[in-house]
Amino acid sequence: MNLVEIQGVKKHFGEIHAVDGIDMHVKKGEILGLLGPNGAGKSTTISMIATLLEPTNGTILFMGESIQTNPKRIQEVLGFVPQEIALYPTLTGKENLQFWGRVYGLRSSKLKERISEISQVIGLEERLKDRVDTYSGGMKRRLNIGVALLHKPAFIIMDEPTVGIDPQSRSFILDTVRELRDQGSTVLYTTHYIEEVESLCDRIYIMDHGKIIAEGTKESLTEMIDASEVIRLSVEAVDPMLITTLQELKFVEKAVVEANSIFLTVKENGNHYQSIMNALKESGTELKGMDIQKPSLETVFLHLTGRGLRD
Amino acid sequence: MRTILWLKLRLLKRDYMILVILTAMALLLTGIFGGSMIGKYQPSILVVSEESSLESDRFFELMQTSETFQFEWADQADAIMRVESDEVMAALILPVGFGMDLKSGIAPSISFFQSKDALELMELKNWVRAMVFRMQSDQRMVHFSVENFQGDELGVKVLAEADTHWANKVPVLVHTTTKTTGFFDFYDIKIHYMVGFLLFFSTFSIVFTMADLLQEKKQFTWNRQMISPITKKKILAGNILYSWCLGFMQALVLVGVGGFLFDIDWKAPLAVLLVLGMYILAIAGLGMLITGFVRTLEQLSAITPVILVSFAMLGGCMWPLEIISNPILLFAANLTPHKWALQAVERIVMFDAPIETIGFPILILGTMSLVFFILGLWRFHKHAIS
Ligand SMILES: Nc1ncnc2c1ncn2[C@@H]1O[C@H](COP(=O)(O)OP(=O)(O)O)[C@@H](O)[C@H]1O
Ligand SMILES: [Mg+2]
Repeated sequence: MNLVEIQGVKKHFGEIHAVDGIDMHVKKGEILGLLGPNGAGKSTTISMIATLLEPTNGTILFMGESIQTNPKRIQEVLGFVPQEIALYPTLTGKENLQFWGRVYGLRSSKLKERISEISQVIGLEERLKDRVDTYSGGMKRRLNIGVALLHKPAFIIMDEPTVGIDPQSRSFILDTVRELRDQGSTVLYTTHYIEEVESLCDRIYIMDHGKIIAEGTKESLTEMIDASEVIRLSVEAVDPMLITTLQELKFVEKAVVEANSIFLTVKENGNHYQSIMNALKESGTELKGMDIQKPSLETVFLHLTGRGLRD
Repeated sequence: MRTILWLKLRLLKRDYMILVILTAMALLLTGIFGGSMIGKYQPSILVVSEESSLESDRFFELMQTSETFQFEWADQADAIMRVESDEVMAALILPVGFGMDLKSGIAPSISFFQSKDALELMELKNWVRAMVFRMQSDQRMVHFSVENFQGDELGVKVLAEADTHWANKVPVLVHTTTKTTGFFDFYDIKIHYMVGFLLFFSTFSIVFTMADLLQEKKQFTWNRQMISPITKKKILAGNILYSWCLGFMQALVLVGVGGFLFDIDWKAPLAVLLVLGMYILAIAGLGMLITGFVRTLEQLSAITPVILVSFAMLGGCMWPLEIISNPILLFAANLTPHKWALQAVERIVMFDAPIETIGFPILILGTMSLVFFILGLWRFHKHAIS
């Protein structure tokens, strides 16, 4: 049985269809990635899983049981790391850990033990007695994760936990996630960084405009593009006529524009160089550079949405 | 709920000074406002007489029996100056011939000198009219007796007789005052203002401790609490309990220190605290409801004084409800916790009412708390909008 089963879930805020009918599942023991640009509906989706929001439509099952009829079941075993820092700035790191531990039923010696373990994991032992508002951004992020792990949650949801963080803290966090999985937890990891899902996740959902547009392992997703390479052309300015011409070439699967680059997904190996150059010459566009990329999640995303992930 | 209290106490440790300051302010403001309201209740009136006669002296004597006003002799120039500078409310001027007019049965003309209209001046005029009427009646009686029986001594005797007859009676009753005289016999306006202002000023700190919930929403800890196994009901109840505890501690200080500073005998302090306890619960519920309706602390700071002042006014904290006759206002008063708390405390302190008579106000306050809490539960969404 899947740990979480999401069936036909929608969430509408008035006119905004933040989540627009998605089906997803989370398998026990995996790191599942939810990848999508800002505003895709990732936070809304996991807020519904975490019982913070009620779906407008559809059902969410946790261990076979609807989370609406029995929210407590998931609440007790869920460790939720929100996108925002959700801590008490005037309290010390330790007091924050104490409070959130108590919220999950930890008391006295058990609480003490877990606080010392967790502060080791998040590397904050030295600063526990200081107020949180004296912490650096990275330290707050780590404490934000730490308070979610106190009760040894079997299921952990992290919402973009590495946004605005130094590279060191970032790799530290990614290592922590892997460790948690290795200890038997299930992790749902939300991000808009492709490198993170590529290096971290066992399985990936790609989300855009409130819909799941692709699902699979990293390998199966890149295989999805029925092509062996992506050619990137850097130009001074993009001429719409040129795109039409390129799209009409029989070996071009898809032509996508991002800023001053044109990405051509090409069907088969071979030398397409001449036809491309002809098309460029025809439209009078000057080529500034060209390179050939192996398909990656980034190109998968481009292929699927016609947009880059980064704004 | 214990966990929430634990948290709130930790947070309180960081800024308890605000609470101390709010309590001190409540005391101070009660002293200032309550005191100034009482001062107004015995306005000074000057009496100027352009002649020196038995009649003018007697008029002054009679005027002085008023419980509402204080009278003082003055000369004309002095009176005009003091009225103009608003030091006194008005001056009465008895013209030359005042005594003669009275003796000959003609209505004497008394001039009023006032700088502005005030409700109290109506009362003053009624009082003057009543006393003049009394003097005229007495005079008529004296005339009648003296003319029929002769002899000066007799006249004085009859006048003395008449005085005993009039004693403790107001010869002319103005309708509006008759309605309330009975009440005001017991009514201690000083206690009313003190209790009213204590009730009013103590609401601010209670509402503002409930506003911590907005802070929780802003820093997203609210969302985090909502997805924890603790239910929303328990979290809100924990917050109310905390507000209540602080509010009650404040009430203890206000009752203790306030009673001492303003010289109020609470009669049954435990009963007073019982009423205050229920009142604080209702106000905490109200605070939670207000907090549920606004989005930011700025909005809360803008709307809270308006709501609290109107509730206090409607509920009779500013002036006694007994002087209000508008049925709409009187009905609206019933919807404020202030009215019921004030009524119950006044019953205890002024009228020595048996403790059972405060049961009904307490029941009403309890019901209000419950209604506010249920509405608040409905207003507090799980998901704070970012
Ligand atoms: N409470 C809300 N009210 C109205 N619109 C919202 C609310 N929460 C999210 N949205 C909208 O829903 C869409 C998806 O948002 P979100 O789930 O936060 O995306 P992501 O986490 O992928 O960046 C966005 O367009 C956002 O503006
Ligand atoms: Mg998000």
